[in-house]
Formats: sequence, C-alpha cells, structure tokens
Amino acid sequence: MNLDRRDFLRLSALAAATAMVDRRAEAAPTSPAPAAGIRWQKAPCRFCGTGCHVQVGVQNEKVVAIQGDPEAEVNKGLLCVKGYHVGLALYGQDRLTQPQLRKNGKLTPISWEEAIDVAARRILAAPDKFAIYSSGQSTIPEGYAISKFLRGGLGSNQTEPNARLCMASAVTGFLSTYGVDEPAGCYDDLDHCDVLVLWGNNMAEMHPVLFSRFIDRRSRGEKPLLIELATRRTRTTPFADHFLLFKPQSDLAILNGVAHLLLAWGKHDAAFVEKYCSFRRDTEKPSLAGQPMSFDDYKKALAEYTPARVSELSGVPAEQIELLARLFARRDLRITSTWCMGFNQHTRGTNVNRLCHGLHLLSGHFGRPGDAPTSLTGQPSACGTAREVGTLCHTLPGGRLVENAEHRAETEQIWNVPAGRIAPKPGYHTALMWEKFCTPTDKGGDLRTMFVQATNPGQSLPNLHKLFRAKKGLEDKFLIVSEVYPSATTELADLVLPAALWVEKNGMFGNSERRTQQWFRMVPPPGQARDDAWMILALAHRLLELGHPGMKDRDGRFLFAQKNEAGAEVPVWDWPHYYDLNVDRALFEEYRRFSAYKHKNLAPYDEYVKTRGLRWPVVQQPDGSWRETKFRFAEGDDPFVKKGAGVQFYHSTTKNDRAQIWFAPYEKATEEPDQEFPFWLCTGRVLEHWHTGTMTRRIAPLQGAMPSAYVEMHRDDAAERGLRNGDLVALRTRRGEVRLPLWIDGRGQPPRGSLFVPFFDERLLINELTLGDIDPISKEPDYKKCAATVARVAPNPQP
Amino acid sequence: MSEREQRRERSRRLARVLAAFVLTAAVSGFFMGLQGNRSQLSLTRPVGTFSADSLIRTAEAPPGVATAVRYEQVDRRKYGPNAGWTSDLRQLQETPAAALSAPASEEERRAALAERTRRRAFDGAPPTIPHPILQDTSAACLACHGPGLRIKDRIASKISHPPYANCTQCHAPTAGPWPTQDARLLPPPVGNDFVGATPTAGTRATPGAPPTVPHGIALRSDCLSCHGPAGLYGLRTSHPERQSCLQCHAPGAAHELRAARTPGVGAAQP
Repeated sequence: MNLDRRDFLRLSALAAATAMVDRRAEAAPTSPAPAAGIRWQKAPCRFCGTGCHVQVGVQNEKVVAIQGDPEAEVNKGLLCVKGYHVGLALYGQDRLTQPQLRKNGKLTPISWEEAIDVAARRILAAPDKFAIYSSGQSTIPEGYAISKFLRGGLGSNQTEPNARLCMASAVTGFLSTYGVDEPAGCYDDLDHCDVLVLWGNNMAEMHPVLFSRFIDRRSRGEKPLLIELATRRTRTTPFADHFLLFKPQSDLAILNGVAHLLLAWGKHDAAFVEKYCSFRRDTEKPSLAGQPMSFDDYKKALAEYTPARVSELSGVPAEQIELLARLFARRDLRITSTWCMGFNQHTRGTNVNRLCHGLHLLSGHFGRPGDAPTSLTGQPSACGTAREVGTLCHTLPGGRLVENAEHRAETEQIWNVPAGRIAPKPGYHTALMWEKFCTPTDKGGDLRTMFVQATNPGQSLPNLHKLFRAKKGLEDKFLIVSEVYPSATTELADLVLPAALWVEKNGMFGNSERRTQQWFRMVPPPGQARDDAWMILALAHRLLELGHPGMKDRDGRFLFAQKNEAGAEVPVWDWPHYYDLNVDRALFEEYRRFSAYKHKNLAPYDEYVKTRGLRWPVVQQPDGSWRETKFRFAEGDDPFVKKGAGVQFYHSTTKNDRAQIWFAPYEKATEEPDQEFPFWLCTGRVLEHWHTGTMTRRIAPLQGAMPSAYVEMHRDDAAERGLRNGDLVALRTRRGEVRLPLWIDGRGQPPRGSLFVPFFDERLLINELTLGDIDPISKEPDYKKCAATVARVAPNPQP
Repeated sequence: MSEREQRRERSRRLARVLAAFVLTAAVSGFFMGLQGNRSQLSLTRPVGTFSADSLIRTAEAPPGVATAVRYEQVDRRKYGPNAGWTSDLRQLQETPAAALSAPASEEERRAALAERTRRRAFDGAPPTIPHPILQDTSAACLACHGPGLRIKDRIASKISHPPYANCTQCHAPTAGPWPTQDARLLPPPVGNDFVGATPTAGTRATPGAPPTVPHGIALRSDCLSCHGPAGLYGLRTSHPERQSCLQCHAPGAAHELRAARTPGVGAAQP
C-alpha cells in the first residue's frame, strides 16, 4: 500500500471520524411516505430577523420538509441549520394543547371559554393595572390588534414588546440621526460593498445567511475586505481579513478615534457634510433630541481621541485604528457597517449607534449601494411589528407618538374611537414594567395582570431574580402566558394559553431590511392551540359582553367587527368562525392607512401574497404595479427624494433635510471588573439555538450539536486558577450564581479577563446574573458587560 | 616506530574516530531533524495565522519557527476528530476496484439510502456531521471534503456546492464537540414527533429511459460528489465518464418547486 504522509493523516482522521458516529444523536427514524403529494408553499423563516423565505412541504396536514426558497431575494435558496430544521419546531412532544389555570398552585386544564372569561374579568377589575408584553415574533396583525385593543379600547399604553431588550438603542440611534427609524440601506449592500465592517457582530453564527451572502463573493473571485471588531474570537473571526480585539465598552472610543483621524488628516467628506449634515451632542440629561453643536466644537471634542489614547482605552493597536480610518478616508471604496446586540445591549447603546451613523455620514459613506450603516435584528418581526406597528409603550402605529396630541387624534380618527380615548401618557418601558409587576402592590407595584405573548421573559429579561422571579408568592399578581411549549415563563404563569405557531396560522413579518412578508396557514395547530390575534379579539369581545365601554367605536360597533365580502358581519371572535375570513388581511389593510405618515408606505395585502416580501416604502407606479425601495434617502431609488437633491433626509429632526452627526464621549461601563469580580461577563447566542431555545432545544439535530450552556474562558486564566476543560464551575456576579461546564478553546475564545455564556439554556439561566442597567435614552438593558468571578465546583469526571 | 610517529598515528586514529562520530551524528541528526519538523508542523497550523491568544506562545519563538504543542492542547485532542483513532489499517475493507464502475444492486442502493436518511431530518435537509469537529475553520472540513476521499470503505464525501464554503452554517455535528461527558450536565434527549419526507426514486418516461433526478438540485453543482467514486457505494453512477448528467437526467418536477415559484400559485387560503 502506497500512502504518502498527507494521505496517511487524512486517512487517520477519516477513520477516526467515521468510527465515532454516534447513534444517539442521529435524526429520528422516519416512516416511509411518498414525495409525491407534498404541497409546497412559501413562508418567511420563524427564527431570526434576516427574513429568509423557506418553502414549506406539507403532506397530510403535517410539515414534512423545508427547502430554501430559490425565489427569495434575501437568501436566494440558501438557509442555515436552524432554518432547514424550522419545521421540526412545531412537533416537540410537549406542545401546549389546552388552556390551563393555576388552582391551588397547580396548572389545571380548563376550557377556552373559561380561560377567556377569567382573563377578561381580571382586566375589567383594573384596566389600568393591566399590561401586555408582546414580542418581535408577534406578527404584524397581532401587534396591531394588541395596540388597538389597549390604546383604542382600554385607553391604556401599558404595552411593550421584548424588542425593547434588543432593538431599542438602534431605534433611538436612527431617530436621533435621521428623524425616522430603520436602516436606509438593505442587504443588497452586502453584494456591493468593498469593505464590510462588523461592529461586535458575530455574523457567521447570528445571521449566517447574510454572512454567506458576503463571503460567498470570494468564491466568485471577488475580494471584498472583512473587518471584524469584537471582544472575543468567534466563528466569524477565521473569515476576517483584519480582527480588532477591543475591551468591552471601548467601541465608543474607537468610533471617536476613527472620526478624529479623518478630521486630523482632512480626509472627511467635506462636501457631503456641508450639504447634508449638521452636528449635535447630548444635553446634560441624556435625551433623544440633544442640542446642536458647531463643526469646530465637534472637532475640538474629538481632539482627545488620538490613536494613542484610543489604543490605551480599547486595547486595539494604533495601527489598526489607523487602518480603519484609512479605509473610511477612501471615497472610492464602498463600506457597509453592520451591528446587532453588541451596540444595542449597551448602557450607552444610543450613543454608540449615533457614532456609527456619524462616522458614515462624516466620511460620506452613505447613500450609494454598498455604502451604508445597517443594524441587524434578532427577531423575525422586531422591525415589522415592534417598531413599525408600534407596540412600544410610547408609540402609536406608523411611527406616531403617544405624547403628540395630533398623532393621537389621527389614530382615533382611523380607529373611529371617541376623541380622548388614547391616553396621553406613555406606559412603562420593559424593565420598569416587570419591576412594577414583580413588586408587591403595597410597595408601589401598580401592575397586577400581565399578558405575555410569543416571548419568554422568564429567561430573557436581565437580572431575573429582581425582574421576574420576584413575582413568585405575590398572591394578587396574575400572569397570563400564551405559549407553544412549557418555558421559564409558564413556570410562574397563572393562566397558560396554548398558541398556534408559525404556519399553523396566517401571518406577516417585517425583517431587518424593511421587507414586509406574508404567509398563509398551512397546517392546523395541535389540540386546542389557537392564534394569538384571535386571543386578543376574543378578550376584547368578552370585555364588550361584560360591559366595558371602550370596546365599542363611535358608532357603537365592536372595535374588531369584521364584515365579509357580502357585507355580512362575521363573528371572528368565535373560534369556529375565525377563519371564515382572512382576519390578517383585514387588520393589515386597516393598519396600512397609518403607514404613509413616516413614508413607510405599504402595499395592499394581496401584493405581499404574490411576492417574497417588499421593502418599504412601496409606492404604486403609473402602470398600477407596486415598486419597493432599496436605498432610502438616495435619489433615483427613493421615490420621496426631490429631483436633483442627491441625498435628502426628508424626516430630518432639524426640518432642513439634514442628518445629525453626533458627538458622544467614551464613558465607563456601569459595572466593571474589580478585585472581587475580576472578569467581564458577556452573554449571547450560538448558531444552533434561537434565543431562549424554546423551539430549537426540541429539535434533535440542533440540540445534539449544542446540548447545554457553558462558560468560555481563556486558557491562561483557567491555568492560573487550576481549572481544566470540562470542570463544573460556579459563575457568580453580584446578582446570583449559576453552575456551568467550563469550555476552553470551544465555540468562541474570549481574551484574558473575559467570560462568555450563551443564554439559550433554560436549565442554566445566565440572566439571573446579568446586570439590567439600561441605556438612559432607549431604556435597553446591557447584557454584554458586568463583573463576574469563577470558582471550581467539581472536576471534569472524564478529563 | 619512533615515538613521534606513534603519537601521530594515535592522533590520526583519534581524528578518524572523531570524524566518524561527527558524521554519524550529523547524518542522523539531519534526518531526525527533518522528521521532527515535519511532525510538529503537521500538528500545528502555519505560523502567522496565530495571535497571542491562540494555541502557541509566539512570544518565545522567533517568527517562522513552530514550537512544541502545549499540554493543554494535548488534552484537547481527546475530544478532537482523532480522539478515537487507533492506527489499525487492517480494519478497513478493500472495495474491489471493478465494483466501483459496476451498476449498483438494488440492495446496495437501499443500504445507501438508509445511510443517507439516517443523517437527515427529512429528505432534502442538510446532513448532520457524523463525527466531532473542531471549532476552527472550513479549511479543516475541506481538507477531506474538498477533494472528496475514499480509502477502502471509508468515505469523506466531496462537497457538492463548492461556492458555499461556510460549512457549519448548515451542517451541525450530531454530537459535540463538548468539553465533558458528565451526564449530569447534559439535558435528556428531546422528544419530537416530526416525521420527515423520505427519498423517492426517479421516474422513467419509458422502460429503459434515463430516470429523472429524484431530489432537488438547487445550489448543487457537482453530481459526482454523491454519485462519483467518493459517494455512497450504492448511489454511484455506472458511467462516470459521461460528465453532463442533466443531459439525460431531467430534474424531477416534484422537487424543483416550479409550482411554488409561480406567483399566486399555491397561495390559496386553506
């Protein structure tokens, strides 16, 4: 046998690899079924904010296969490992299939009639002490129904989406820079850019399809540059041309450092700035509006951010900061920036978002394909539902504000409710909402009943002991949870409502690039599970029956009354009749009337049926067709930009078509490592699991690949403490302790002095340890930085 | 012999012994040195892709010189892809060379399909990785799966879609890598009632006509990755010399989402 050394090594690896095939984790055995007879239909993926379209294969009323949709512009037929297995999310054996009420401490099956009645009476008893906590996974019609029910029906603004925990700082960043929310660019930028800068964004794991969209260009012979700024090495890092490892919180300093160099070299885009921008900084007390500043003051403020100083603050070598500045200084390059939770979950999240937009504006890297600062979302409809419909406590549909009397009047007009129905005072933001719910009533906890839909706050809120677990034992607090599986949230629920999931109902999502997507119900939900939107309609109707005056409009009609094409009233609140007409379509067509005010124009529902989503603003052409917009504010593509303007920021906060370039200083994190807690603790996600893992932990191919949470540590830190790979360690912060296996050189590699724990594992709730300090403007908590310490509990039994 | 000659003779002998010693040392040292360098280099990645954080302390070694692996790294091998490796080539069975180009029997085809099904949640799902992987790069996967590899009955299938090279985006290992086997730290297996679509056979227009492709071919560009010499034995083509597969084997309509591609079709409300 003639083997050379390389072949021998390959053979060794191969033989070893195949010898270790593990039966345990193989895909479940499948019973034979013919491929013929599979009916394929489009739907956006249920998981992240990328918004890939899948083709769902249905046979005998069950999902049996998933394919990437070749017609989808977002993913062009490709998916990630979660997306390919999204169909399995419906079939976990412990699906909730019946309403349950806690009686004598135990969840007991009840009927839907009783469940809706119990919930309605709780609300009726104290409408102002009731709140709905929904989600960036709620569909657009669901979010709209919630907003109308609460604001237009109960006259209350106590509604928040979990998107407060992930997107709020991006929103305030966009609002304070452009005067209107959501990215100007889109995913096409990834096809056009020469340089992609990932600001603390582990794109290979969190937005894998977008990452492939960029790096696959290399297979076509292109050489786009990938620059990664991060606080640890991840699966993204091996693909990066330059890796800038920075100390937590110093992103503020780096952004200022690059801006400083551009000015010092005279390499900023003076013409662009002169024509389209003005400068701004924060007020004494942080605010969304801030105050104007002159260019000279801006320059002066940046003067201290020399490469040497920034290098000292961030740990990034001065040459690398200069490298970044040299790229931004070149107008011939197209530069796209993306970021996600690294920027947003930050006690200075608004500022760091502002600075990134500012850098693009200052350097003129804006308004051309491939030149854009774009924030990515983690949830499939954080944009579509939480941000556009407006389920935040201070927003009304279509970018309107609760505090603005004109906006309230317009909304009341469209809803046909009496003037003054909408309360002028915003509700509580997420952290405050849960604090008020988990505080005893006699100590100021003035929320008594919470209705949670499509999210798992029992695992995803920060500082869980304070913001969630404290609910336990508070007799007069009542938690209603609509869920598909038992979760950390249903554990404390008083009323559990079984929900229909994804293609078990009609739905619409809005992804990160302003793309509104639609799908139809394809399979029936299991048992008695029902649609989230129906729950809201049924509650509203029960309240109407119980005599709540707010459930009628000016003409005495039920708020959610629906008529079919023949003009006959359809009792959609009655479940057997819910699908007699398309409630999604009806709610969307009503919501669509709100969309023009902020130039987020939406097409009719039926247009979305035909396409794999359309990016707003969508405007009708003279020939009757509907045209989407790829690059906002850019002449030639955005229909609302005046001819000859080039770039026009038509929602400018200063009313002069200018965007704001903000200055914000570097500030220390609110909790930094010290002697007692010497490590930075960062939390986040992994490729195989989606957020709190409620769905993905029930999918064997995903769960097998990533079975449990762990703590990542640098090998030298471990060696110093005598810790070995696989040891069980106790991770402690000022808020709690969790015991996890230690993983050295595992999925990610943090630098010395840093730890990382993923948050998907409900058995090991890392959010019992996280800080919960919030950004003063966006009210979004920081999950990425707090101080922790580690000690060994037990050695690895099989080291 | 004069005393002077004796001394000269002794020093000559001493010099010869010394020369022989030096020569032996030099020759063996040269080969040992070569050997040593090669084995070290094979255990590490090229110098230059490392940072201060990575496995090797570059600080102590001059640039360009690989240093010995650290003990922690030896430990890591225990759950790496070679962890279960014992170098017994006798365990491998030879595939008769003639068999590779003979048409597969029905039984072989069934065995291959069963193997294929075992690694997929449903027909069309990306296969799981049946062996532990390191977390590093796609280059590690492509070392074997780039060219494809068949050594006796061991197969590393060739990548069917070379332009898409972020392997772990779609392919997850069935188990691990994981730092500990401590059962207390691992959750019980999940229960899931999903029943996936299973593979079907292609159809023939007339007896003897070439069958249609019984699976989707979107994104794939190399039929021989599965149907060639580095594919599952029972799926091999009997005519690898004919390279334009789709010339005779039309994509099966049921798998190509043609209906779904047409706007409006399949959009009726249930």
